[in-house]
Amino acid sequence: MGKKLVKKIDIHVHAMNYELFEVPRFDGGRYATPKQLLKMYEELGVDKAVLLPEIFPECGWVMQSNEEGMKIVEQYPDTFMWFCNIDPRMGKNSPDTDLGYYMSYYKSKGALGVGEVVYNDNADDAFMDNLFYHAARLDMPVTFHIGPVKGGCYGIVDDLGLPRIERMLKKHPKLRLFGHSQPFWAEIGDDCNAQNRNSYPSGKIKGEGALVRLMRENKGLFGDLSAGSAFNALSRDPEFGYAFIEEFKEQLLFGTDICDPRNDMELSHWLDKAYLDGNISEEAYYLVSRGNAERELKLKS
Amino acid sequence: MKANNDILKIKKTDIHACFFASDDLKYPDGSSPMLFEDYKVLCEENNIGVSLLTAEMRTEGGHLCQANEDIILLAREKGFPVRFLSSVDPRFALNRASTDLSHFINYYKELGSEGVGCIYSNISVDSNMSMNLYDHAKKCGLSVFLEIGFDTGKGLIDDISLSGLENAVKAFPEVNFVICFADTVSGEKLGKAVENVYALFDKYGNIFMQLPEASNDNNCAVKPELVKKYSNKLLFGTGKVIREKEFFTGRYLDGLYASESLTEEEYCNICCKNAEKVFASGR
Repeated sequence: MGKKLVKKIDIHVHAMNYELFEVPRFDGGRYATPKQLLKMYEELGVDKAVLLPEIFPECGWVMQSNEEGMKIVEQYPDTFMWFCNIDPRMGKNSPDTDLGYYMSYYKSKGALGVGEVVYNDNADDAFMDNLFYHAARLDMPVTFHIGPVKGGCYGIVDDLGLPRIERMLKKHPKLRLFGHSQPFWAEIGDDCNAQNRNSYPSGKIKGEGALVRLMRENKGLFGDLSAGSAFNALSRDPEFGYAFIEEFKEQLLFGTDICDPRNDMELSHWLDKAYLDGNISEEAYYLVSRGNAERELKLKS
Repeated sequence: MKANNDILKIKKTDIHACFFASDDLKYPDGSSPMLFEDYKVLCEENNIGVSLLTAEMRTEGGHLCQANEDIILLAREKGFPVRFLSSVDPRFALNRASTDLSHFINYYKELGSEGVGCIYSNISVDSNMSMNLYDHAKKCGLSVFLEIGFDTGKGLIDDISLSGLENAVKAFPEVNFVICFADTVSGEKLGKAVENVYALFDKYGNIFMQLPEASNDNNCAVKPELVKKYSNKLLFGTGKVIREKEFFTGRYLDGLYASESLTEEEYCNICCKNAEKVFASGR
């Protein structure tokens, strides 16, 4: 029997529904509209996607409310699902804010998780600890972006080796984290350092990095494969990348992080080719493409 | 005593108009976000003729998030005149003090924005990022509207003497600074803060204040003799985001005029003329 490609679930995407009326970025670019995304998905082989509203000011362009995210899902229910975005400073701007109040409300409105959290302070500070506590309690996975430092960037801050994320995973054993961004994926190899961690380290991976150990020891840590950072991590050393996919086939989630209709997303076809060429198993291909998302987001009864 | 007709002929400009598309997500205490219909009632009760819409773009202490685009589209949808201030968080784009915030300010100015604000970011009022915002407001020729919350976790941070605000006002004499206080600042603290604002009024020509909320708790913040003395520096605004919360300031102001504690000129200044002057460069 010939190999069959599967439609993918995009675990990480953003869209704006202002029909290009919103403020553009410095280069004139804007987020894709839902219609533009549907067109891109035809080419990419994606049939479902998780929309992540943009509520953080750090490196923000247009603040997008959770309600706007919900509206897009209502308009395109066959394609889009959503996560609510929760800023740990919401409510009382205090680490004892009941963030579960907001999470529960949005969960009742269909939100399947929380994110993309880009709060620019320590990943294990009292505010994030509180957010993780409530997310774990309510069984909502959290998509996060790591920033390398406080200030001048966005993302929850962690050090080399991701010790703060590790601390949070140990403190909240039921927490599910979907990790994303350059400082997350650069940790795939032991050549990750202060100079290259916020970019795209290249070349063969000579030794396993902290990420490999963390994912082995923490089944609640998932790799969100969106954006160039994940694609780089997998493809810079294909032999390592294929083995990584096989070992962590139940902890990897296909994603795009399309931020602009001009984005060229390579991962989808790379995965298809890896499968068709026999470099990854059918099981791994299916799980990464959609099976893990279906399970973690409870999409199949 | 002034007759009711005398009061009604002078329409107010609300420099801090807020409403949301939905009240479904209640505040944790069970109260409700303001809807457009609630705001219309507020306008009728307070004789408001012009509303400058401000997006509730509040991260720290926020509840419902709004983009500038949201308030423009919501007003259009409701057939409400679209006059607005644009909120530009100093952390936008690069989360740096070197960010070209003129990119945002000018974009919204071209859409009709008449000022920058209300700024709710919980960072120091004279931090490098805040000063960068004022610098770009100056470059774009617009006034800034700031909410100060001191150490309450909401609004811009400053000490009670407003030394940070003074730094900003001094550094940017070409920029008009309009300030208001977060709802977490009340009672004696608000009274003290307002006293310090009045002291700044005496020193600087480019600082103004939204008339503080007149409630039983806040009597010390709205002493009639000082409202009169600084009537050319005070602006009327509602900033009401909770439906159930009573708004007394409009009636209080009308009462001052009705009792002739304020002359017609002084009353007009607070109701609308100061707003026209401060936000004129945006039109």
